[in-house]
Amino acid sequence: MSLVNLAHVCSHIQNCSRNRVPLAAVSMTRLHLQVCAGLYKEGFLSSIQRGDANKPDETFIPATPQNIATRKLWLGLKYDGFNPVLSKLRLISKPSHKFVLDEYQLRDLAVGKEVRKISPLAPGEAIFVKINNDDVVEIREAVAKRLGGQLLCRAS
Amino acid sequence: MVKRIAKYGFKSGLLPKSRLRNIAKEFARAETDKTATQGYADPLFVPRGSAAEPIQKTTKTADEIINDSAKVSQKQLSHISPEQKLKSEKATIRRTYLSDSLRLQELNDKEEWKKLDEMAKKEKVWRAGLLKTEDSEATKLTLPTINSFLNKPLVEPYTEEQRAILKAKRESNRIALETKFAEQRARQYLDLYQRASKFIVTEEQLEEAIERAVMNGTSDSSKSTSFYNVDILKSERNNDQVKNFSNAQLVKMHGGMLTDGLVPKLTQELVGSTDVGRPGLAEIRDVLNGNADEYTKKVNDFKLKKIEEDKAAAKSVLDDVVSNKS
Repeated sequence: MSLVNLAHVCSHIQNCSRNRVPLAAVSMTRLHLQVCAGLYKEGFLSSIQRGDANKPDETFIPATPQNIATRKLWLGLKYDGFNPVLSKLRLISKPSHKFVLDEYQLRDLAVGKEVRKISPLAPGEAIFVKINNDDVVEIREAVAKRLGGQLLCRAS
Repeated sequence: MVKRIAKYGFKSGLLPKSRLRNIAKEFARAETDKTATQGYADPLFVPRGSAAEPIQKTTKTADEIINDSAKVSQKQLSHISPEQKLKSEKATIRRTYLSDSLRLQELNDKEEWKKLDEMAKKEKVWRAGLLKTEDSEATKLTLPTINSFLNKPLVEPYTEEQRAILKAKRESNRIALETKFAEQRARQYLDLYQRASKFIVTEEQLEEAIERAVMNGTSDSSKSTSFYNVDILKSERNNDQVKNFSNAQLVKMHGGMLTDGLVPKLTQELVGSTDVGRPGLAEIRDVLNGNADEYTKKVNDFKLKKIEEDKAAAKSVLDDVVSNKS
């Protein structure tokens, strides 16, 4: 898991969204797929497609050690009229400063309390948490499951 | 902001639009309210001061509005003055007009609502049609999902066969690289060995080298031709044709080919010899393998065969000549 690469992905998606780009490509890794799936579930993205560096796949192409370097996830960005649905996507944990919270701290953050100088969950915002088994879930799901984990990024 | 009729370009008789109900807005709200009550909202996450379920907005019917605003006065007066009677008649007319207009508005609203409902139903059918694809049920049910990708390795692992091919490829690459370096080293050793024969190690050799340099006419090492080139010049000088040529003429004859580096490279490329013009690694390898002997033997055999053929041809010609004479 690389927070540096995740930071690049976050800024790329945010830049594309602010620039009204219809499709954005990010490198295909497990972490990126998990975060993008989370964004899709929360309604920030309209589609996720597999593809290569040039375009989304028309037929299913498996990822192999030979082609994994060129495999990409093509994300359909959402707009409400001319306004981007996703206006902000930022890392919370930094490579040099990781925030690992327990279930109680996560609950406090979700209900609107500031925890360790992290601003609370705002309405219409989503925070993604990496829980123990390397799954990435939204903070509400983590609270419902009574799980703690590392805060990754927040989208609004 | 201008006032009164200035707002309408000083045109009298034009009235502003009355503040009517926006039926389209109300209809949209009712549609969203239908879906807003679906599902489950965790009370834990409902913000303070807001309701989990949308608060329904009540709208009054025309009769209710009339009853509230244009009620008929219940007061019964025994004596009514003509002024009061006129006022009462005017009030009745106004009340009638208002109630008529409200009832008419309600009818219009109902019609518009009906139209919007029909439009919404049509759109619902159209959207359902969009979701219909030509894919078979089997294709839809076996499409990979995001979870299916996350539950197994993201990259397909190598098969046993692919692993074996890769291993063989790596091994061959390693061997090729090692051979290349070994050959390079052998070439360098051979070069050093051959150059070592020219190294000055005795006093006699030193004197000879000094004499040679003096004969060449320059003491500047950077400008002088190499000892290899001097050797060529000397060998050329022994040749009868160029015996009387000067050094400058000889260099001119070779068209500048006697410059440092070029001749050794050419010889290396064409003959396979080393920089010093001695047999190269390939030639030595051939000798060691016995290929050179075999080649020499083949050449000799070919020469002998050619001589025999020439002899036979000459003999036949002689026989012909003798037979013609006789």
